[in-house]
Amino acid sequence: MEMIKKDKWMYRSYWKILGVLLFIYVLIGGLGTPLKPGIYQLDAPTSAKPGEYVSIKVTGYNSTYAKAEKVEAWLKLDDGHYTSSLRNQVIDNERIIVNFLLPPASNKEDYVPLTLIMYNEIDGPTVLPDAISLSPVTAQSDTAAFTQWQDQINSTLTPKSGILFPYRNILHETIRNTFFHVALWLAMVIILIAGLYHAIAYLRTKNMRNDKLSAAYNTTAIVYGLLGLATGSIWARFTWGTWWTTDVKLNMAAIAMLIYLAYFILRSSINDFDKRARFSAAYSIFGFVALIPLIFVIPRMYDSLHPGNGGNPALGGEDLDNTLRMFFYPSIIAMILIGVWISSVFYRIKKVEEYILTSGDQ
Amino acid sequence: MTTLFSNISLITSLLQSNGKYYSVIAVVVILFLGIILYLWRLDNKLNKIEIQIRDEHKTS
Repeated sequence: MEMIKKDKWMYRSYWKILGVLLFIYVLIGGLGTPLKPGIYQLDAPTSAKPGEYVSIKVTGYNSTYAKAEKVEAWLKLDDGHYTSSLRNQVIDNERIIVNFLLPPASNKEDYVPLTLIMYNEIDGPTVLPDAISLSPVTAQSDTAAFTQWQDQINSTLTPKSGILFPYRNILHETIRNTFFHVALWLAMVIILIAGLYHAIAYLRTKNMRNDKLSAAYNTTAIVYGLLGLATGSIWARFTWGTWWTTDVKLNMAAIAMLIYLAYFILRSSINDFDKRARFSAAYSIFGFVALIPLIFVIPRMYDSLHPGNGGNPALGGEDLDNTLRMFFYPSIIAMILIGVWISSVFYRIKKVEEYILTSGDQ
Repeated sequence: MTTLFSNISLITSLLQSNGKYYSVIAVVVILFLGIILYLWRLDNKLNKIEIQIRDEHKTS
């Protein structure tokens, strides 16, 4: 008897345990995995003339300039035009001064941003775009001077191996929010689809079970959505410098949340069970149909700070590399499973509530 | 008022230190608190049901 009960418990709850274990894995891995080394800050003049001597003080992140045998640095004009540093003064692991004698010619008639590339055998290559801008030359643009740019980097750059998250300028450590903020939104959409499914099922079968399930999934999804707005706001504060911007994606997501908040007002304002079920099923279909263009279509048609808009996809591309995927996909699954768990508790409470109400009437 | 503002700037500078690592912690904490708050509300709903059942037992 005891054994059967245990088996049943395992059979019913394995997915809840899976969700929690996956989330613990994401917490440990997502917060514990270090970032790749990068270039954190520069102390350098904003622009330099061709032929000029520049010295740049570099502050590295997770870098090992002092420990490395040899630190190399290049400034890149464009593909095929590089100049390497003369000599470097290493201060410590995080600080180094790199000196350049810029070639006396530029092929551009305007200010051009130079990209700083650094390499050492421990850290692998690190890159900072727009490190310094090269002012235009008009007098000295003969081709002989121009050949003083190297056409390639004369070293093989092997990236640092191991499980490390990519280092991105501005984002820095907040790249980890991918597992929490982005995964939360994706889990929300999946749970809303479950709510939509049960709303349609209610309209087809008129089974009150579907109504309660639909309400449970939608409620959990909205909690996720509001948390998505809150976490996104914190992320924005530390990368864009403001809690909220009038960005399309942000405002459309807020509107979508307001549409869904009206769902609860609708539900709480109707006392008749069947009427409430019919209205809220219809409204949640409307809400989902409104949500898709608000979150996935309109923001892509405008320029936006938010990734996934203005032509740059949020998923795939350079922003999500394989080490991030190791935690990003499990995080989505964990949040869906935990969301379904909370929804099922919500559903069972509603079921008991309804049972008491109807049995009290008789 | 000035101490409040200096406290806020202290917190933001803490969150910005270590390559903004602590802002990630803030995100995780908000996520956790939000889910706990939701559980709290579900708990309250269950409390109401329990009280209802108890009262019905008393009356009957």
